[in-house]
Amino acid sequence: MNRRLFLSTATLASGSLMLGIKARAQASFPPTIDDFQPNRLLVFQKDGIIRLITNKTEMGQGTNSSIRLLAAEELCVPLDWIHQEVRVPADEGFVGTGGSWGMAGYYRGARPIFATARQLFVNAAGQYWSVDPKQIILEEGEFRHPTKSESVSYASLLEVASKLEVPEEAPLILAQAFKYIGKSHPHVHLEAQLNGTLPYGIDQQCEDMLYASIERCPVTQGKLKRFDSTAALHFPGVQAVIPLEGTSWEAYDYFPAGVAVLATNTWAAQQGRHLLEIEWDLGENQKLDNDFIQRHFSEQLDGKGVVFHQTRTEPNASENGTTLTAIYDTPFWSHSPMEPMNTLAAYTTKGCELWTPCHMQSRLLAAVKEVTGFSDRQIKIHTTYLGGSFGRRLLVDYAIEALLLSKASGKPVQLLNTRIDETKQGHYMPAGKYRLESSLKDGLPTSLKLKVVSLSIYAQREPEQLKDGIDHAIGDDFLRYPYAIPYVQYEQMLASEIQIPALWWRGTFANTAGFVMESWMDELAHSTQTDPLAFRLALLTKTEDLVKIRGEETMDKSLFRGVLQEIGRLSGWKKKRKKNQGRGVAACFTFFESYAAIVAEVSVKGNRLKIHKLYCVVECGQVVNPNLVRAQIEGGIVFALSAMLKASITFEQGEVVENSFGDYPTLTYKECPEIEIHLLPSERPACGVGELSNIPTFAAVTNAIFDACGLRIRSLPLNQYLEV
Amino acid sequence: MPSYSLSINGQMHTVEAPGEMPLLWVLRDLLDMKGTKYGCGLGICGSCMIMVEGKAKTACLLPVQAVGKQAITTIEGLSGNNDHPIQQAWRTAHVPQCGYCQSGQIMRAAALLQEEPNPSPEQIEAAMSQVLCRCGTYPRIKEAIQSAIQLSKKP
Ligand code: FES
Ligand code: FES
Repeated sequence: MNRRLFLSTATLASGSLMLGIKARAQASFPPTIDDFQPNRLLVFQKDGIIRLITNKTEMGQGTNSSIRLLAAEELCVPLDWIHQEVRVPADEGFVGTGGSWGMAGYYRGARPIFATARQLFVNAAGQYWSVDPKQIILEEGEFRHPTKSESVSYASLLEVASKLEVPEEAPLILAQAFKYIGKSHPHVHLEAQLNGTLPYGIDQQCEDMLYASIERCPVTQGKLKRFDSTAALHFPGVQAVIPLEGTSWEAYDYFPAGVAVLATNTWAAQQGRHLLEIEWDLGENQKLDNDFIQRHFSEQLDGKGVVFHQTRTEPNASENGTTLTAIYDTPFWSHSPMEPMNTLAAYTTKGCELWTPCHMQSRLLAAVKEVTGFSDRQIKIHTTYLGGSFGRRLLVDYAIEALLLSKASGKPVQLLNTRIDETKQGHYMPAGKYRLESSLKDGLPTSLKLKVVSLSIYAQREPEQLKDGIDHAIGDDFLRYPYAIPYVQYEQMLASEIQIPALWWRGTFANTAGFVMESWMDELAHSTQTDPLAFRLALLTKTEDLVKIRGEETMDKSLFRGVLQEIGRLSGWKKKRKKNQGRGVAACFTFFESYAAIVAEVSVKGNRLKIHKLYCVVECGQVVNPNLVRAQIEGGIVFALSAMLKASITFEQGEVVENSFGDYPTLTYKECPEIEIHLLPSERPACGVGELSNIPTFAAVTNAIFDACGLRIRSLPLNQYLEV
Repeated sequence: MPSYSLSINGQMHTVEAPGEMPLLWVLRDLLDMKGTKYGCGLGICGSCMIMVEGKAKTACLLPVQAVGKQAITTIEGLSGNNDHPIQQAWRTAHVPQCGYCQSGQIMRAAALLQEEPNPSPEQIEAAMSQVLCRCGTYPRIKEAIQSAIQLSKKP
């Protein structure tokens, strides 16, 4: 997606010379044009500001703050000249953020575009002085020539540059000369975050707006039978009560049937909800409870699935030594970003405007078009700052609900979910169940047979993404463990009968595949009385280093080995454990081409678990902004710990049991272990880090628990077994 | 509708609201002070943390009728110039990620140091565990609190 985007950006670069220029008849100096846009990413202004227009959204990860560094680096200008903004979604050009590929994509795709812009201005300086551009020196945004006493700036060369052709190619700044890349810089929004002035979606306002809160059907795909709004309408501030029909799976995004209360303030809208009398037709999904789901998973595991990966044919039983089998399972998890879903929407018959914390703006635009029948020009989508997402804001359901309420009420509407809505009516990280079977001979595994049953996000929402009935999103993460095992067979079953809204979640299936695979490696190591780190390293040496995954990605075993070796050193792996103490290790390779390894240090006294420290080693290519990379690594670890300690979404009669952070707990300050991070130097281009450190955290911790007390955790969360 | 005179960040504000309306919504929707955030409305997440007479309180559980003459401080009124020791320490440690919980974190930490300039690790844990962060900024909060304690000691 990203690569294609940048190809089209490159071909458009010269065509869009026309954009933003107020044409003048003749060249003059100082400039007579206000701004000049040589490509889709940059606008050079007369006042010296360089606008950087990206298609990425800020939600705490800071991608744009770091893309600024790339632009400043290639243009050789002071950092504060670069003002970043998010592109307004329109038909042409994708706007959306996800898959941890933001920085990686810009590092590869945007730097060459920045470089051609720089070269264009170098050429312009050459033309201005009638000298060979090769003799131009560019420093801190000033162009000089050895024979000239004056210098010129980007701003003063606008007119000249706008008349020249943008060069097809230009050399990149060499890594040795980096001034910004590789050094820590803050979030651009830091100051506003310190005094509460950064405007999130929830803070958006406009004239005459109403606040809305929706009581939604508690069971997926239930229907509204009847409702009585009399009492609600009497509550002070309540202005209207509006039913919403809800959508099917096939719609742009599923949202349940509901009844919305619109009021002059948020609190009145929420209170009005309590006064509604509603009768639902809960439908067949009432049957969904934990037992039903587990039974369905088990039945599927016992049946036959689709093989999605296999190496050679199965050896006959006589070749096998001892055999080990186990079943693992993982629960549903919620995203629960701290800012609940919300959108301010203003609909009129002439067009509509949305202010929304959504990071799939192009999808939102398509959904708004479908719902309203408006053309591109009639729709304006403003991207606000986002109070977290973890995947939830890839969807657009809340924005469409707000839009429909604005249309029905004739007023601008700010819809805000409550925390309880967020917990009970989310779209969840799918639960799964896994069966593993391995044979071992002479202390080494000879086979690994894996069966995974899981809800499939694709089967539910985009069945056209399935290939021969296989959901590769579920399968691929199991292929990213490069251990040499002669015979492997991986099989999957999609639990399509479980109609619970499923969604991408920071790392999604990489988390659960990581938990299962890296726990299993630990089980195999212990069964042969081998040190788990040494056991892994022994399985990473035999064959060539480069491994192709489904012919698409390349995984480098030497880097996988590298992060494991380094984590051994950093954590003092060989140090003697004290009584009740344990250490566990796990590693991963990811679809965004980074490698990480984690060692967890825990103690288990009686039944009480304490997680003392996590060490993390990362190989993520060129580190662009160490400050923000480290923040992502810290955040990923906390995210995984939050999920694995006490959190799970469970069901009773089709309804989610949990309500809020009280019974769906997130890690607290007190519970947060010490974290030590080591970023490995690398010559590779920048790779992703947003969904990295969470992946090996799960198994590192459970492996450490086994090391401490001999308890093998095969099911999450941990509070089923331990006091945490 | 009853009317209330509130002292917020050293200024008097008059609002008309039902007495049970939580101060959080009075601040956000009636007075247009959006710095205090809603995270749960249940007193669990701490995103709405403010100071009432210098003590940390969750604004989502404080009915406007219970405020009376008590002085309210919100994130908007913590300092004139983003230079409260907590803000300075937060800046140096690059604490915020998405930042949504940070008004609450900063107000909770400021209230702690106001009450106890030299808090023990247990006191810090007890106070800061009242504000949740989904982005995982705890390691940096830990570091920032220590430097804020040092900063506050300087004359
Ligand atoms: S919003 Fe007040 S504690 Fe969560
Ligand atoms: S910084 Fe995002 S929730 Fe704390």
